[in-house]
Amino acid sequence: MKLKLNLSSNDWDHALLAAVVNEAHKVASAHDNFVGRTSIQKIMYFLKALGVPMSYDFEMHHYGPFSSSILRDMEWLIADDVIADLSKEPQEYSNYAPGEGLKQLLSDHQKGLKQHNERICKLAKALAPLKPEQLELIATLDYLLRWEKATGGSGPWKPRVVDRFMEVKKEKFSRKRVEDAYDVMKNAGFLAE
Amino acid sequence: MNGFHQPEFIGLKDQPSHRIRCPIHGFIHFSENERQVLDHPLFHRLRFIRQLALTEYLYPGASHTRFEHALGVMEVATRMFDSLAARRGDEMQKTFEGLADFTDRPMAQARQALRLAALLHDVGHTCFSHAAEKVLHKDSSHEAVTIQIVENPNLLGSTLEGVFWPGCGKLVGQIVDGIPSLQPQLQVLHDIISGQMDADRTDYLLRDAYHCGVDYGRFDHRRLIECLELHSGDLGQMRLALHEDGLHSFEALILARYQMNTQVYQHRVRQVYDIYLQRYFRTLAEEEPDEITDVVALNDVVMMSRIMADAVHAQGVRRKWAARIAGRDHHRVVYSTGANARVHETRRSKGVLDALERKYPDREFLSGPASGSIHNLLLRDDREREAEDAEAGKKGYVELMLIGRDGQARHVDEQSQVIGYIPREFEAVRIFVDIASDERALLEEMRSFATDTEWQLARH
Repeated sequence: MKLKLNLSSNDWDHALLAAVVNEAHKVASAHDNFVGRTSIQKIMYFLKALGVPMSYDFEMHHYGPFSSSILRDMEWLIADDVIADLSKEPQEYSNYAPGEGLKQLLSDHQKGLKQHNERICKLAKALAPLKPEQLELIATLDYLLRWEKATGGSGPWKPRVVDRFMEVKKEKFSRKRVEDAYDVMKNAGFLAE
Repeated sequence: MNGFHQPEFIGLKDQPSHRIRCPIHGFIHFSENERQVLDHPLFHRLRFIRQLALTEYLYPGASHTRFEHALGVMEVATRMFDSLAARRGDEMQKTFEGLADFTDRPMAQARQALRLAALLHDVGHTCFSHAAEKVLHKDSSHEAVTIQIVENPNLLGSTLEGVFWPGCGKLVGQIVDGIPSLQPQLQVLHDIISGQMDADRTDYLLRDAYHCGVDYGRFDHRRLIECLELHSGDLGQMRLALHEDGLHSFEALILARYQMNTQVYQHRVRQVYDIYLQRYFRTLAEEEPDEITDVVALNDVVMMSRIMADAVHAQGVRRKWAARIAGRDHHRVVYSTGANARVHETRRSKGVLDALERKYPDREFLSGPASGSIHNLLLRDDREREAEDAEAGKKGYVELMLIGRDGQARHVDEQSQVIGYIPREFEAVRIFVDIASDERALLEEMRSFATDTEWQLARH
């Protein structure tokens, strides 16, 4: 399919978003889940943390890292049929899936995407099945670990990070849940310990 | 916590000892150590990359370069840092002292790292700035190239590490890049380089307006800098904020961005030449630079020379696009969406393009989006939706706090009568047609047809 309006045919950021939607959709479908806005945001955030080049600037919010530019670009991709939003109430939530033009965009950037495909698949597999609240928890843990490590020392990091998490997030999550999430993320290799 | 702090310097060679004239900021001072960066070939190349690509085809004065903009951003960022240090120095010192990377003189190192990040924030740009980057290093972005240049020892990394301190290059890269690589305690330095009232946009608005000869981009930036404040973010990070006395200067900044986008950055003539540049560069696809050294070897002078030659000697589409650029011979707008096009309006423009191509099959049509960010502020409605904690409420808009004379922090839009009315984005899709200047009647016919088609599509 020809990308009629040339909204996204030569943009690396858009190709990366399309690749993430494609992989996350496969994983989420297998888990009877759907790919929402938070999933895409957090997968992109962790891709950036792993060194995948992109021009998105993330802001840290109380609900975790988020880039409004990603949200805007998803609208361009939907308008150009690269991505479809299957949501019945798109003002309330999104349900992203591959669109008709997705294959062509991925093909245009095949060479670049190939270098990062393993990371995209790994993150999609780990994060796409999670609920938005769980994604907020793990992204915040990553952020606070970076905070603690910047002060120097050699750890152990977990007690310091969990203490700080409980301080800033108050009652939102139980300590046990935070500790468990820390271990899961560490074992999956997503925390930069 | 307050505490006046004078500017601090790491060593003698970090004190200002050179100066250079700037049409916007007067004299810009820099140190002997910084001179080594300014004289480095990777920075020197910015003298040959114009800030606004082919905007000079529309505003002939707009031939200024990334070199002078980079110096300007360093100057504004420094003024911002010093203004904050003069009022909130103790708080800044305490934050920077806690970092393992700042072992020597934390305030001096933070100030120096900020100056370098400001100076080098655009060092990854290639020829014709944004117009070419999507094609010429299409598997990356100029931001990613910038990070590589400042961190790679074979590029600028070893200069930064050797002249300043070990780890300096990586730190500069983090400040440019922001989270997640940025150490959270340095968030305020990233805010100064890239935020809602940052040094980058302050300089380019003033500079672009000056060189274009328009007044839209001007605002009272001195007042804004004097009114900068600090505020603690959701997770305890130090964020840039604004004293209430600076509110009108900030409103003027946002309005300046809106007007510069509508009148300069997203102008239809500028857009059509960006499309030509992208089409021309695509004809060079087999030469797409793989290595970063190939990317940084390109500049406007080298590429313009090639375009001029291709306009005469090349064949096929390469010659066609080169001739358009070299001869300033452009398509005309036949249709445009509104300035805030959403998904439905954008989709309709596809239908308009289809209809135009069917009705006028012997004509060439080009299309593309013109898109620019005006602001990214969290407003009252967004806060109410965020409070519901549903996905719809999470949009990543930025919370900018206004610090009152009573010391209380309030959201900037609660105190402003203006900001809520200025759109966040300029987003339009335009369709251009190849038509001669003496075919005015036909162009008007096409425009009427496009408008009627869009109206019919909207009804359905």
